[in-house]
Amino acid sequence: MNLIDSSVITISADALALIISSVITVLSGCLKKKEHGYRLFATILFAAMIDAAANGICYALHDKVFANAHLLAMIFQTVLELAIICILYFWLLFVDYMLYGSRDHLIRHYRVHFIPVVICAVLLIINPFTGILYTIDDTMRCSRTIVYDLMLVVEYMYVVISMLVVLKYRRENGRLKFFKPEPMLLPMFMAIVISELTPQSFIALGFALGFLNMYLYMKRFEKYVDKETGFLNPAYLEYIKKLEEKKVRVRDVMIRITGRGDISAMPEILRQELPGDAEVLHMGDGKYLMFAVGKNRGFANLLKSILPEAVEEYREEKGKELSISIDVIRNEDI
Amino acid sequence: MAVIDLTEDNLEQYVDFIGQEEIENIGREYYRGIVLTDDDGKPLSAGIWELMHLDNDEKDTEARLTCMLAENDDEAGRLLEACSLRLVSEEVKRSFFELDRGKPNLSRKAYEQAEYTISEEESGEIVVTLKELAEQAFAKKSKTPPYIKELGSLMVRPFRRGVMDCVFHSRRELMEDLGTIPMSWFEQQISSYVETDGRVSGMLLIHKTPSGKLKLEVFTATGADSKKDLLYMMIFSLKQAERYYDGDTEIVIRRRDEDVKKLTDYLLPEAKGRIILRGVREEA
Repeated sequence: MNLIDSSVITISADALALIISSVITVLSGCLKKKEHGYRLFATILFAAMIDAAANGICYALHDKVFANAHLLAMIFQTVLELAIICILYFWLLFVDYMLYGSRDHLIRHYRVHFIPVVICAVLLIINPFTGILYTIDDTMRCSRTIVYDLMLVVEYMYVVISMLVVLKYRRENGRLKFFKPEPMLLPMFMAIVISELTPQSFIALGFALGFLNMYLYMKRFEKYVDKETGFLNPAYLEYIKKLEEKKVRVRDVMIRITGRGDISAMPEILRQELPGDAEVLHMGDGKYLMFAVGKNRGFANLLKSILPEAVEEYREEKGKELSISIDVIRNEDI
Repeated sequence: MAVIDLTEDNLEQYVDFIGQEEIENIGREYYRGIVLTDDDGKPLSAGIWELMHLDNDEKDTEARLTCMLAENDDEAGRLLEACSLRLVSEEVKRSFFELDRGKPNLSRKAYEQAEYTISEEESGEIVVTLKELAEQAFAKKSKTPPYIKELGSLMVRPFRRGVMDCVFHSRRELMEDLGTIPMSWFEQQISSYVETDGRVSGMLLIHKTPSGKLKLEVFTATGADSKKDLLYMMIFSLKQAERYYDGDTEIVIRRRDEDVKKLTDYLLPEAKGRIILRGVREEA
């Protein structure tokens, strides 16, 4: 048996990809979490698992001759291609959401980008009847047409666009703190190149390794998340201090918000009133710290007038006692 | 002679002397004013200024003299001296003014005697008519997206949150007292905002002065599409203004910084500020 021509390697790679994607799905808990970023990640993982399974089956069918083998090969090839285009489109949405954190931004920008997905899906569905994209030969292998190669270009454009989004973000906002797409994209790119140069396919494995890197990033960030409130925890302050020592970041004005009374209501009030991407740390016992960008105290003064209004509204609505104090603090006070 | 601080309680007494246009700012958090009167209480001179950078640790506090009136140069000298004492007590490091020949002001000589350094510059304000604005290339776009809305459709609390978001995200200074000024200060039907993810992510706020001018006070957008949103808000507000105001209504745009200047140069390439005399003085 010629190992290089054998489908065993691809099937093994796909099995490994399926295992990795399944484990990430379970460990990340992305199916249970309601937050939009997790939902997008769950969608990508699900499509990746389908891709791995379908690709493995397609390769397992190579050189097999039995009733309906041809039909099965066509079905799973179609499923595989649909899964790939879903992965790449949702990857683009995911990258954008991780950077900008805005569902509306996705809706406003990427509705148009969904059109190629629809066109490709239609072509894939009619392909078994027309052969416009590929045909399955007698050895159950896929023979591509030039239209298929054009479809590939469109698919990879999503990855290119995602990198352009990252570059644009970096240009406008500076370096990224945690989210770095390169470690995620590199395995994907390498897998695509190797798959083009050899009879094997490692695309599913490349995706899975990319998502593994993404999962590891999420874990790295989760250690700074306060499980009780969903805000950041005191460990994040230590992280920021290290960045300041390295002169990567300059200390902003810090605002301390202290609650007394029904402090369990504070996370919801702060989430409602504060800017969505504000860095807010839960220090415990109703105390919160917030970084206000720059040395302008105008924001702190504004907060002092707006937050008490929200607290007053809560008090009237719920009939519970809650008061807050807000003050601007210096480095040495932390 | 008496030096009287202008407040919301006494400004009615001096509105004829100072003018409705200038006096309307008294009561705003960063505006101060004084009137010098004779022994009978008759106003002889008056000065109103805006304090700037009060909340900014990186910049010196400055005062922009917005209205200076005096019957003669002697009164002007006394006024400037009284103002200076007030400015020093507020830790103002620098005061400046624009001498616009179209507006009443002290004489150049009075300022020079008070040790102001005078130079000729383009005004920080540009004034265009609604008709001129409507003829610009950007105004030809007819449609704006549904997430650009008129200010009147916003409740007060989301407005205040929006103000906070804009102040938080803006890399440049906005209106000094934006955090305390009431929503009703701005024209509800022609001011606009951007709604993103249920929150305000951009604002174009216009104030109508007593003389009927429309003053663009806040023009900012945050988020990924800020440049596009600025343009959309401009188009939206322009279309709204065309519905409610005549074509010869004047629109005043104060170019607070280089970013606003670049934007106005792009949107209104032919609009230039008037040549004015600008005076600066370091306060003791």
